[in-house]
Amino acid sequence: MGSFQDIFGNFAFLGLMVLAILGLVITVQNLNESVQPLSEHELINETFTNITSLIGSAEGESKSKYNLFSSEKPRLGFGSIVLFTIVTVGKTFGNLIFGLFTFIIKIPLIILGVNQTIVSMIISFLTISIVIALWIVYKFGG
Amino acid sequence: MVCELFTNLESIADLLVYPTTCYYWFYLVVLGTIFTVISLSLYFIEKEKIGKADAISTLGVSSIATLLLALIGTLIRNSDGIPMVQQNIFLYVLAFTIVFIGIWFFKK
Repeated sequence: MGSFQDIFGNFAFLGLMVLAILGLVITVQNLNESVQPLSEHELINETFTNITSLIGSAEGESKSKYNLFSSEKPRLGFGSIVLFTIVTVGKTFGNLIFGLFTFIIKIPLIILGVNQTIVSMIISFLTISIVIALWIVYKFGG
Repeated sequence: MVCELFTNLESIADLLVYPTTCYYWFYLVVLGTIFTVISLSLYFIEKEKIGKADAISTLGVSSIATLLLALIGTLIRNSDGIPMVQQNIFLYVLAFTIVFIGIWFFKK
């Protein structure tokens, strides 16, 4: 399953890689005045824009969650210290992972016609992994 | 796009684009073959040198090579402006390679 940091790190890295590949293709084609540029394709254009904005928003989200986290006063729980902001942090980054996955999976799903059941299976596995990883973060702090 | 006789070929670009005008999927088959050859070669070279090989890594590396070749193919066009690798073919290559590149990076 892996820890939450690993899952988020892998997805952020994967998102950056897909963004880099699409960016390279679009830039090279535009610079060389390609006859049929990929940027004119609706699906690619939409995916590229969405991944750019989602990765861009991760910085803002991280800052706001860090501010919330640093401003919270820790309370004593049963044998531990309770910080409620960790729950909102987990929710936000969990949503970011799902967002990235949705945009990345769109390209093979639509173009190659991958069966919907395979995608559902991957999403189920991803959901369970994220929920368990988040629970470990909430319970043990890492 | 009409499949013409093997005439009026003025440059190498014309010659390279010629199969596309006759058989739309020609370069998809060529790129698929290149992908298979590179991945199998890398796999067996690694297995021979180290003793064990990582199939996902070899598929990822050959995906990048295939994608770059397809990208170069989209930039080559004949005198009529027809590209060597059509947009639809490039989309198939992109979607196929992104899956392997994604699995490879996710595994790393």
